[in-house]
Amino acid sequence: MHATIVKRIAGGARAVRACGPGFVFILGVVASAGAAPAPAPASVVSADPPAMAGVDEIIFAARKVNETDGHWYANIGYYAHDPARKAWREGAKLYRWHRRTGTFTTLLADARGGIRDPQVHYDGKRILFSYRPGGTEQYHLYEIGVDGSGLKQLTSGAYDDFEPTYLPDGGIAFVSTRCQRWVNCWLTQVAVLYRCDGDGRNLRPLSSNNEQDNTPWPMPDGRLLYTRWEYVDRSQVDYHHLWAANLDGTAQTNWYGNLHPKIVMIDAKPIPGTDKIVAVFSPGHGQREHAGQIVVVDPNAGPDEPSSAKPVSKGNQFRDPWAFSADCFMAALNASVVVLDAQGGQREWVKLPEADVKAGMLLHEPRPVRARARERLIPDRTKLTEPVGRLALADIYNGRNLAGVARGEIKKLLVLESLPMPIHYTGGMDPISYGGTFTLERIVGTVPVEADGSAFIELPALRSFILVALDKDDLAVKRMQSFLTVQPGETTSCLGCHEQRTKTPGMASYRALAMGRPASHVEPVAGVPEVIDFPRDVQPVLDALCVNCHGYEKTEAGGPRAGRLILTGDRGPMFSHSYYMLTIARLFSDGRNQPKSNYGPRERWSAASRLLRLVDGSHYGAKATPAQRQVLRLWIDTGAAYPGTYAALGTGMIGGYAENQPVDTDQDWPEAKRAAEVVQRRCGSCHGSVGRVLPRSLADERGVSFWRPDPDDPRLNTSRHIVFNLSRPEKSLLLLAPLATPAGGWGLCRNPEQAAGRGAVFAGTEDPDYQALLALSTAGAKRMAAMKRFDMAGFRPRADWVREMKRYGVLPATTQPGDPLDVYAVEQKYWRSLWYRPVGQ
Amino acid sequence: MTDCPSVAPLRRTPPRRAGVRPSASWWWIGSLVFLMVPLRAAPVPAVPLAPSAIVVSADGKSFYVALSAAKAVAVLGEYGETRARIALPGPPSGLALSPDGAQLAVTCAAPVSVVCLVDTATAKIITRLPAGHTANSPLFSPDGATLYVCNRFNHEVLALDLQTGRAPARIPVEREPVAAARTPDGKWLLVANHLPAMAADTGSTAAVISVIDTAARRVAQTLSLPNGGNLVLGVAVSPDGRHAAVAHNLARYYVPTTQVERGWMNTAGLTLIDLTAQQVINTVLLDSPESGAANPWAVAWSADGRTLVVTHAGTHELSIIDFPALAAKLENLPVTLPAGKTPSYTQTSNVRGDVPTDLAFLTGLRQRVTLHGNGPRALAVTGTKAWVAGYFSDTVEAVDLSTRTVRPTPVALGSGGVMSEVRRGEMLFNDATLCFQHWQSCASCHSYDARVDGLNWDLLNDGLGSPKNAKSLVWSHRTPPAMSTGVRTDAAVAVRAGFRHALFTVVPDEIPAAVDAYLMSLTPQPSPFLEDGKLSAAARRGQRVFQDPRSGCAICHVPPLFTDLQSHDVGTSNGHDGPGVKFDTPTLAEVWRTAPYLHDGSARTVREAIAGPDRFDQHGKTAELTDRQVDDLVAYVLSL
Repeated sequence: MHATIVKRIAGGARAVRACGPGFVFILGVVASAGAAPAPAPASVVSADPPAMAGVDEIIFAARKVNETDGHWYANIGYYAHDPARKAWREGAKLYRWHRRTGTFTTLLADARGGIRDPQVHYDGKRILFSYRPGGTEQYHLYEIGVDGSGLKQLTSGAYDDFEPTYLPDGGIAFVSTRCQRWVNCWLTQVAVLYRCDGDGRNLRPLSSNNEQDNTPWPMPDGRLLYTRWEYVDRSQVDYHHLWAANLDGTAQTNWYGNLHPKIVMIDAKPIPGTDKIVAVFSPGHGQREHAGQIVVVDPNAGPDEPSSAKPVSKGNQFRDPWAFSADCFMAALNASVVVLDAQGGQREWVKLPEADVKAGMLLHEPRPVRARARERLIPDRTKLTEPVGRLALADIYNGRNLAGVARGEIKKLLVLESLPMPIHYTGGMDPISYGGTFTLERIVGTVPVEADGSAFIELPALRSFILVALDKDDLAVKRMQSFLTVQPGETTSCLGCHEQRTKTPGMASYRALAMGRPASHVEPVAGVPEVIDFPRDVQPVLDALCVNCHGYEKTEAGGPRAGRLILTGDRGPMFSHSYYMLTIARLFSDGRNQPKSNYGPRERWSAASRLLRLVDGSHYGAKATPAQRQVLRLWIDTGAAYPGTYAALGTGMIGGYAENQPVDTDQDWPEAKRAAEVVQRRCGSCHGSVGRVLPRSLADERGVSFWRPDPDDPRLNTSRHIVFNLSRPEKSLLLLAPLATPAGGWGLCRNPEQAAGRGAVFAGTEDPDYQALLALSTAGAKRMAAMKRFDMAGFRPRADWVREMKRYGVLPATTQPGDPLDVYAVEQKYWRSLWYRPVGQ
Repeated sequence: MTDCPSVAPLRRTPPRRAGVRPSASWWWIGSLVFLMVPLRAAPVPAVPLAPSAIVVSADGKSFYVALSAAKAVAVLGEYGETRARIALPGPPSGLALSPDGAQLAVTCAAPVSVVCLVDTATAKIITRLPAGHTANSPLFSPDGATLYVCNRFNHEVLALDLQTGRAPARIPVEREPVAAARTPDGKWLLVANHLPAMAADTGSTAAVISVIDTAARRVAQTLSLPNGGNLVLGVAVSPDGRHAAVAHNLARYYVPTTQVERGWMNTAGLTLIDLTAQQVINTVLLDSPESGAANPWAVAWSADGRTLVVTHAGTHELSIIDFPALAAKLENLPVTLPAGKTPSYTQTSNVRGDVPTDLAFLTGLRQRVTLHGNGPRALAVTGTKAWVAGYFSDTVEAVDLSTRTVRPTPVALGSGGVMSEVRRGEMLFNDATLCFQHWQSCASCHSYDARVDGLNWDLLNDGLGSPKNAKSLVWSHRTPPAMSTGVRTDAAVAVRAGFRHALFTVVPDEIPAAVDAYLMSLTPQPSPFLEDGKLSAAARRGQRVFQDPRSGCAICHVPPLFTDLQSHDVGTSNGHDGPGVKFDTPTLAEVWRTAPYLHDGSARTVREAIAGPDRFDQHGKTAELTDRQVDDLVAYVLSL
């Protein structure tokens, strides 16, 4: 009985040893070490490393992988534009392999199915795994005996459940596509952290992530270690690091990484007898099936210390590591299990049978078959009947990179929500932004920060919130580039904004003013939509304040194109001219799609945005009303997106992208071919240099990156996004610049065949070359009118968007592609459908 | 289950029933692998020993272990063999060897303590000297002529003149001296005051180190620990006399107790003192970012001064610290960030003031060693070995400091038989490995003896923003409800809530049940204000005032429990408590040692709690009392 107690209470990170008559246990250790034939410090490349004593059998999966997609997560579900194209492959087995005899026992084989992520139960007798039976679409959780008996399905439904792990509280943690969202930069679905009881019941999400969570695994201290990919206003390909949460999803916190970009840290598991973990570091943005280098991470210097990660393997094609000890690991490599030591020694241990290798299977997820102690338990801190949780912020001034911010300067917190995406089609963000955000952000509201820097906030449970510290002018002083989640009924806390990760609360006492009152409800911001749509909400402000000078016409106030800036709402092939120009002129500041975060105070966002200063009355009398200023400010602080709807994705663009390839291009249009020739012949002598090169078609990027354009690239000034006007073709810069002033042009381009300073390129609109360029813009305008962008009357969302909204139950099954829909309302309904519904409601 | 030694939940705790006696094969394995020397050849009934102190002779061949529960000192030889066992008149709390090694001083703690001087050659008590309330930490002067003893509850250090027999000198210190160390030249005595001696609501609360000028026989300097520094238990002076190290708890009582990780509630502090300048150098944390090192207790230096050793009574570990490297790292930190330099993102400590908040400061400078024993409270360092006694495991083990490769050598001091439920409860009360990530034990807020820590804590059980002073647990089960506002029906509920909400852990009920048994076994100690065990004349007069219905004290503080088990508004609400809050009437048992007072610790003394200027005559009718009546009343209450 006593041993049972200790079994539950012990199991800390370090080995717990006996005293007193517990000597029997010491004896056990000594005896087992003594029983090993070679107790000397043998390398694991030897046949029988002592750390593997007692491991007689291992299990592993054999299966084929998606050879057409290199993303680590692209192995479940189907592709956005083509549900018939699957990310999984057919053919898999679950094997048990005996170490002494070398025999393989097939526990389960399915020639058309998929088998993945096996884990052995604490009792050593059952295996939990994810299985997609042949002929079906989705992976679900199953259990089977280690002897192959008693196959039992635990979860079901039209979503994928995978990467399961047994929990010490009897439940199961896993990731699932039940979250009904898609990778914000790819055309596959997202799976986030879920949990359920051991029998598959009481399934609920633990995460509100908009991107992948992966490979949860319990740590000895009772928490769950997992991979969280996120890109809140920073690079989409650089932050996929290790996080920890309690088994109830509370206390979600960074465990290692996240400050420093690069590397997918995944498949992390504790190393017995230490507080370290072993993980795969999949290089860059990760590799197929999580392949990478086997790395040991010591958490004792904190989550931000790069030198705490020590590579074990030589090479970066390893998968699914398992630690027997700090010096003995196994991992999958191609069709084999290899054993590694901490010095990089490596030996092949098991290889799949030849037939499997020939069939193209790889070996995956080797795990020892043996009983093990349950990890310790942390009390459940949720109240599932509550719709909200609470966040206590002790002192917002306690943080790194806050130099120069005076106590009392921060007045409130702007609460934003990073919004799930119902579908996505490519690797870029178009047309959500041009090199900036991928994700729409909702203005939830504001909460007060007390004079002492404290705040106490009630937040809806299980949504992804971003906090922005605002000063007395409501400008952003400091901002999260990550998100936080509270569980139902959780009261959690943060010190500041944001302190060192190895830091305790400070030394000075304070009685946090906010703690002496009930938690603040988030107060909605009046007079502005929750999700700002640039053409609908921002353009009218620009029209009122800016376009008189920064338009295509000369007015009494000035113009045309004052300061070479166009701020009209005319449509280019992908964005409006104003949206594009605000971006490349850097009149607003955001995080861009860059691997950088923790900016200094007022270094980015509204406080750093010139646009707001230019409409404060100091610039040619342009003075925004408070309402106009609020729209501009909140548009910037919500990531400065172009559309306010994800329905804009993958449609309404000439030269948009699908799976990173341009689509709806015009190169083959007769108008484009003719125009390209004209551009070459009439413009080439001046625009021949790389920095001034003109597009030859509406879709011609001229080598500029569509997803991470360099803001200093001079080609941005002559981009397709600004030289073609698809709203008013004759107002295309490509036509106005070379057309002589008397003919209605701007005469900016001089005819090189004439004496310097005289004569425009086109003396009049009758020039056939002028007409050829106009024909392309006109054709583009016609095409745009036919395809319709999100801000045009009669816009229809893509059939794929409709299909997914029907699948989520947001749109009725009877909805047909082409039916008129208020996409903004549908998306609000979609987001609302994902909100946490308290138990009993 | 035990295939993998490091994953299997090996048993640390002594069993509650008769254990398996190591057999002949144990001897065989033990002699091969470990040096394990049992002190007795035959099984004996379970008698808890509770080693509380250990000293080693200069030649390293004799070990003296104070067995507090057995009221004895065990004398061990260099191989761990028992040479003698010296019976004592009371539980030994501290040991000291005279400079010539001829005498062993043993403090036997009691309301009237006795200091025994033992002739080490014969292992016989040769002298018995009277001392004060709960004497401890004996120290010989370098010439052996003076013996210093801390009288914990008299808040004083006694200087006993061993040669002339003159009346001892009494040197008042701050509050509850529990550890002492002296410089090699004997000029300075450093005395660790266990608890802060101040109100708890002032924004800065910390215990102090008293530096005594031994020639002048007075406190020359009082060095404060950082805010939240309390539960001081260990102090040591470096062999060169230039530094002192103090082991203590460092509480973050000023943030709500929403979490325990990352040092949110209690951290383990080591404060270093520059003895030349007589000022604090800094306080480093002994925890790691992902695992606490709770309840630091004993501290000692190696003879070469290069290694500093600290025991962690809560996590059953030893910290082995490279002292020169630590001193250099502290010295090299600037006081303020140089102009143009930005703070590091990955290092917490950019300036000296950051160090007490840096959980990773000791990375690379310190090794944490998991011990076999449970409750390492006693430590002695000789040569390259640290000798550690486990208070609850009744073991002594050695850790090699030179190789840093740890082969603990547990010497079982007793039979290891059945552990009583009460003692098991006490062990669990002190065991931080029950806590999530080992950050704290029950003892981190109630001290190792289940009393107080002198601090206010903002627990979530009554909402955020209303910190409450930690209460003594004596009679807690007899005086329901529990907590200042009575939010827990009784102490048993509160104990279980403590595991859940303070230790953030799930335990089977037999663990809190054992803690219940321990807490229920606690009895109030006699007050140091009693005279010959009886009320003083003033206290007797005060008793009449107390019982007088006009003062009304006994209406709520009803004898014999000194509480009516009800909640009242006695005008002590502080504006953070919310409207209409009533407070559970606390018992007055042992109130002489539970300062500060009132639910918010705002009264530093009993007098302030009774008749402070802002009490509005609601907490008893005291406004009409004369000063002398108040004095008498205070004298009575302090005698309970």
